[in-house]
Amino acid sequence: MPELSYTTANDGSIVEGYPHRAHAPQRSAFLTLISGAFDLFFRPFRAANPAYALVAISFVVGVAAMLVFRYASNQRAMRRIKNRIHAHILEVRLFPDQLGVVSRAYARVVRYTFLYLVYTLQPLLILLLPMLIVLAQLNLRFSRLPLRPGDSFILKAKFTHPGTDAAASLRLPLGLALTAPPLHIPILREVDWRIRANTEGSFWPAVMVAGNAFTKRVVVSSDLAALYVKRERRSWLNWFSAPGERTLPAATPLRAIEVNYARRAIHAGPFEIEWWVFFLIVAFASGLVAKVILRVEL
Amino acid sequence: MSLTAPCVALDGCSQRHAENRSVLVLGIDGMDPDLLRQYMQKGHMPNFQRLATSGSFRELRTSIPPQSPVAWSNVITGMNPGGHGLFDFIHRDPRTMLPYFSMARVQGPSHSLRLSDWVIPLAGGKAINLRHGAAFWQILDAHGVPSTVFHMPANFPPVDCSSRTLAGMGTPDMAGTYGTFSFYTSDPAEQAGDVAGGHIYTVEVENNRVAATLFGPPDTFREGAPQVPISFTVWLDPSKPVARIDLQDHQVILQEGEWSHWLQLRFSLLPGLESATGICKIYLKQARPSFKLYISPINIDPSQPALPLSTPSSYVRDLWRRAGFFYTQGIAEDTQARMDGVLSDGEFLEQSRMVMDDQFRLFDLELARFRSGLLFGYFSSVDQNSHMFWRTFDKNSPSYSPELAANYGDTLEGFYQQMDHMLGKVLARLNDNTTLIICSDHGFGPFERSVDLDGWLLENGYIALRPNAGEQPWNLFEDVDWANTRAYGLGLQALYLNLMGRERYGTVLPGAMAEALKTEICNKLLAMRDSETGLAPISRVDKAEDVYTGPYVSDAPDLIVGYNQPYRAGWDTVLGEFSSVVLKPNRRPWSGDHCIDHTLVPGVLLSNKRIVARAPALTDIAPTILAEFGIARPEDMVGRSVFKA
Repeated sequence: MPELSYTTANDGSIVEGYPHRAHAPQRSAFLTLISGAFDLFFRPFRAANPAYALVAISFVVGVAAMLVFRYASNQRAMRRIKNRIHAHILEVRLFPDQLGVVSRAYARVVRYTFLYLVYTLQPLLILLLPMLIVLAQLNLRFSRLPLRPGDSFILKAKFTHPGTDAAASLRLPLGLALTAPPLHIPILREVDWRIRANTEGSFWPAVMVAGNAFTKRVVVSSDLAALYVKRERRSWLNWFSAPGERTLPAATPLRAIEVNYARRAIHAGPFEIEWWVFFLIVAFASGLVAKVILRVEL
Repeated sequence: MSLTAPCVALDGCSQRHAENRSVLVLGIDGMDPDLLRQYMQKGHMPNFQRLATSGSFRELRTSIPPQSPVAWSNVITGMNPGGHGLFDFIHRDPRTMLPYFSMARVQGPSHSLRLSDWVIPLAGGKAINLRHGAAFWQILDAHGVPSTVFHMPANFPPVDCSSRTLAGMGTPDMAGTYGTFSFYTSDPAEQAGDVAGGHIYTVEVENNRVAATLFGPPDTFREGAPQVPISFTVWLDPSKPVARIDLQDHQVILQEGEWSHWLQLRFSLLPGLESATGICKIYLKQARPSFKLYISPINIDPSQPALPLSTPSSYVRDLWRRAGFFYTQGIAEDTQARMDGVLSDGEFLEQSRMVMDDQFRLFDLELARFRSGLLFGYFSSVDQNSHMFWRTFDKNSPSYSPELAANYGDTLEGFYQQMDHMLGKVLARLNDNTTLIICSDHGFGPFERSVDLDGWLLENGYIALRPNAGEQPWNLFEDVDWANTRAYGLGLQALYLNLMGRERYGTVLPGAMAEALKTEICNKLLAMRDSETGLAPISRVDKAEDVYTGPYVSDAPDLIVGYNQPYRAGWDTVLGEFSSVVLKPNRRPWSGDHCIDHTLVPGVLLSNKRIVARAPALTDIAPTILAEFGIARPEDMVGRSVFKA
């Protein structure tokens, strides 16, 4: 269970200037690769308005989705089906007073529409997993604001059993400082620490429980960065929501360690909107443009 | 009045000179010439001393009456109240006799559709600035001189112009008031209910948890416009004086005696369709044994203003982007929370310093990019802290104590020194083409005893009570027999005749009868004596027609009462309450004042240029600024440039 060994003793109250910066927890090669690719993509936009980065990735995603449709679907069959649907609709318009013809035409429209959906299923299934990964990566970067030097934040340790929070303490690396006594909330089995970020960087404050240290990465930066709000026990959802954050061991008394990064809104001219709304609008618009250029049947 | 008053003829040389000119004005509310001299003599105001020595320092004649909205309107328009129409903090509508704040009014939509308890507006509401007359920066605008005007009082909503202006005194909070705080307490000794400056809510601490509700702006989409509620939770540590406040998306940990940063709150008006945002600060006064939490008035959010705060409208958002959140409420120092006992002297002082820091921070931003044209900065701290901390050095004040003097005796001087520090930064940026003007709207004096003007009018037979009037204190709007009343006081210094044809229940005939009555009341007021001090509580009474000129003289109070030092209008009399005790000691923390005889509280005027005017007045400031840019003063301005003989 021990994760990190610290050289400085902690008295359990206010700790400042812990002189040792812990190492980043290891991640799986696949997730490292994915995250690295996104980091690389966003590197040119690090210091710019995040809206620009979001426009760029939304454009790429919109175009990529069209390319997947273009090459992963049976475009010829889809075109043929659409033509047939159009023909049967025309049939309805031409012979509105012949009940038998109209009924048969409607039935065929329904049948071909269903068939059309079946043909679109294949590219949609191909897109599903990458899209979830993309959304998770974007959520990490655009839903929250990194801390700035001088900002205060709350680090929360949530425990599994009542009473275990009483002995918890905190160790802070240089660059972070505790600015209030720890706040115990027994009914929530939680201890909160108010911490001020003094300098830029990535830090690993450690929650100490029964001699064991459990770290949580904290990012202090004015640039665009991936932010992991919560470190918790392993679950299938973590794979998407926090792919770069190591899970807590199952046998620990800790349920989760959280950092309350502030929510980020994307400023687009006079509008202030959630990142995913902005993403969907731009991705959809660029997808439509790509559809016309690539002559994708959709 | 025309905004395109002709420029004076300029030759080529002076034309260029005018184009390069810049004027920097610091408006320091309430700076008193006597105190300034005293602090300069002590050597504590080196920058003011330097300016006074190398330039000019004169006393500045204030407005009649010397109240900030009136005085700054004199500055803005170059006219007296007869020209701009502001006569007191409080005006009354003679048709209803009800009082209202004189500076601005927020008006709901003229037409609306009612569906069950929902009200759908069919027309937009609006905020109306009740000051008349063109502002000097509007005239500068018309002549192509760029201006930036910060926190100018009596400029909410800001008047139309292309200059950058930010509204000041008169700007309401989200509740539509001039500042309504919320205070939550578990102390059984505290009573829930409304107090003068806010609401007190009693709460219970259960399992170290407090559940409470914060009430925001009125929901005008609902019948009766109930205030929009936001539930919040406070988690208290079982043993240490620290708590976490969960309020919407915010989680804030505060130790006892700590203030939060600004919190942005969203109030849902029409769920999913319409909402408004405001900002507030939270102060954990006490965690244990009793829980006490103060939440500031909810200020209009500068990032998404619900009401117009600036010109152009984007300017306030630009300031927010550059400086973060800041106080937008007109008078941001919560003096009322101190008066209601919710904040202590130390707590009020801390809050007051936060307001000053905001004002300095914003001004610094503009000062740094100021190159030419006009920059005007307004600072409220000296005024508000003169009101609250005068008792710390006035040994005659009923609330003076040696302990208070030891703890806070130099507080006001500290604020003067802060202004000196600001002046130092300004002086460092001055060049030969810049005219610096420092002015205050009035000075200050002690407020040790109060005069219940309506009580005096009752005692002297000018007000008659209804036969069924209840116990005192009485109220103008419920207890007065208007058919037998000849005069009444409302506001800080206004006295009105109950004039036939003007007042709803008028009894006094206009003309000779009214004139005779005014003279009679004047003489009696001046003859009043305080048996405890032997002093005359009133040293001057002005008739409106003697001191005002302009189109709005007919709206003026008939008499303007000039209280002698150390007197002022009683607290209750301002809004129409009165009793049979006319003269009382003032034991409130609000112990310094200026709403008195205008000759006793002149302001200050300093400049880096030589002031030649013999008796400069507030109405001279606008013509002086215009003259510095070579613009002739419009005819309706009564003042003249102080730099010209």
